[in-house]
Amino acid sequence: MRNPFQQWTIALLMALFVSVGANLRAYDEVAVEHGGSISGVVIYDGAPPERKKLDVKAPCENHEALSEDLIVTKAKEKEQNVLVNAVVSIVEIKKGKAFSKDVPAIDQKGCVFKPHVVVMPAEGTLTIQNSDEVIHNVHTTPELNRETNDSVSPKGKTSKKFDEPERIPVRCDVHTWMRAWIVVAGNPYFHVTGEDGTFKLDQVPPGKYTINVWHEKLGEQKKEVTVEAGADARVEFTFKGK
Amino acid sequence: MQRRTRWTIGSLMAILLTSGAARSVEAESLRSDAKKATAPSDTSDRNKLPVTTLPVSIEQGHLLYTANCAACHGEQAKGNGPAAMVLKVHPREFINEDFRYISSDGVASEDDLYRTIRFGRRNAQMPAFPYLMDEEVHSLDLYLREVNRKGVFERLKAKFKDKPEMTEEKLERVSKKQTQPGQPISWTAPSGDFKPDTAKGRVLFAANCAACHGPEGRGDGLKTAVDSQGKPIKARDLTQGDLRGGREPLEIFWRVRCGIPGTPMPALKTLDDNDVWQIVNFVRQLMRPK
Repeated sequence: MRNPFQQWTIALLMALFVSVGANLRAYDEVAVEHGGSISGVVIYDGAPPERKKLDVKAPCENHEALSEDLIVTKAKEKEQNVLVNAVVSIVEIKKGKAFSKDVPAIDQKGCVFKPHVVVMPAEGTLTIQNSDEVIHNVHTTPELNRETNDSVSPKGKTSKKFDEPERIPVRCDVHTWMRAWIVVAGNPYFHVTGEDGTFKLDQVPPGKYTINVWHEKLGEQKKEVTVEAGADARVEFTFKGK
Repeated sequence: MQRRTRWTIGSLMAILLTSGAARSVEAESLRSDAKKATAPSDTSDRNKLPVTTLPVSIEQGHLLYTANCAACHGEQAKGNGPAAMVLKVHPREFINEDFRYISSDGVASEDDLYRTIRFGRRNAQMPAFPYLMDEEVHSLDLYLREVNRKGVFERLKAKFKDKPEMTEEKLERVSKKQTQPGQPISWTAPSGDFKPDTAKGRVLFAANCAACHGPEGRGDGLKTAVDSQGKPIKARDLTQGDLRGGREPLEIFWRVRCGIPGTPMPALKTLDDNDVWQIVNFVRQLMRPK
């Protein structure tokens, strides 16, 4: 405990700190009129690497689980390989559409994190579930946020908050093969590529933007793009395969 | 509580702590905490940093640190003081490591550091410091957190040296936020129709603790664990009973609920308080010599 004078000083400092902090992170949700969109595909230039079988140990029953740190699939129509679990986002945008009201969730099922990459809003909440009959722990090792480590009882459920936008590695210490990423986003313009490697960011206010794509194994790339009212801007990213 | 009463109690406790009676008084006070049926939060003064009246400061803390802590924890708080080499348990370094024994969400609260300094840590060579004034403990708290904050700041600065958008201001803000004293968690004593139930405790232990601590709590469950510095670490053998975070019910409750930062021991928030008390009861039975 502190003496009253000190308490006031600290309260004042904290108020200052909070207001400065809020200004730095400001993203305003506004109605987007005449918005455009950004869409495209994340290409993997090379032969699809074989996915390793995970070294799943007892008591987990899921012996067919494959590593998810580099998934490349063949796009249906075109003759190209595309990248799964790449996160495409707008680097900096001060205002635009509202964050989705759906609370993002990460599950632990068959001793694997589902999904492998989950995106959540900064200062938002992430639901953490355990569908297994065995205990898991969700151990996050961020840089800008505080490290967290939560047990999730069999069939249990909890939640987590992160404030600072960054990409956070997640592991389970009990089942060491279990890996995932929590991406804390500063704005709602993000998309995690699925099996077809494509992405789409909609309701983007017209203007110039920097688009970023990030993949846990292949790093990141940036591209400039101009969005016009009612139009779709195409962006293509290519990662060189090894 | 009146200031004078507090002083009297403080000095009485200091005297008691230096005598052999200290342990049992400590134990009794914690035990009665756990029995309080209504308290929504920890109301025991013994567990809290007392309200202080003399000025406290980081500078005071630094002087006190040099005089009282540096022999083991090192002048630079790197855990490498001259006495460190003869200690079985390595003294904590405060630059990169977290404070471990917490009753809060994430970062040790002021009360947590107070308890560690005032009462020491068993099964490690961290002694109790009964002779320090409350103000001095508080100043030490301020100094240690500043060391910790600087550590986080320097680590981030090195990490992001190629990223101009990570300004020093931003890193200052983030490092301050990460190292601010945590808020104590709220907890309730065993309530309602709670009855210690060994069978139930065993089931809960098997589901939530055995993966690392082993089915019988011998610390033989998980062999691959590492601490935050990447060093191998073993889950505690609970049957040895000498728990560093303390053996009393409330202390064990806190370890289960809050976890131990810097180690793989996670915070268990998916059970209700009564279930955690069942685990506490079961662990205390494991601890008894057989």
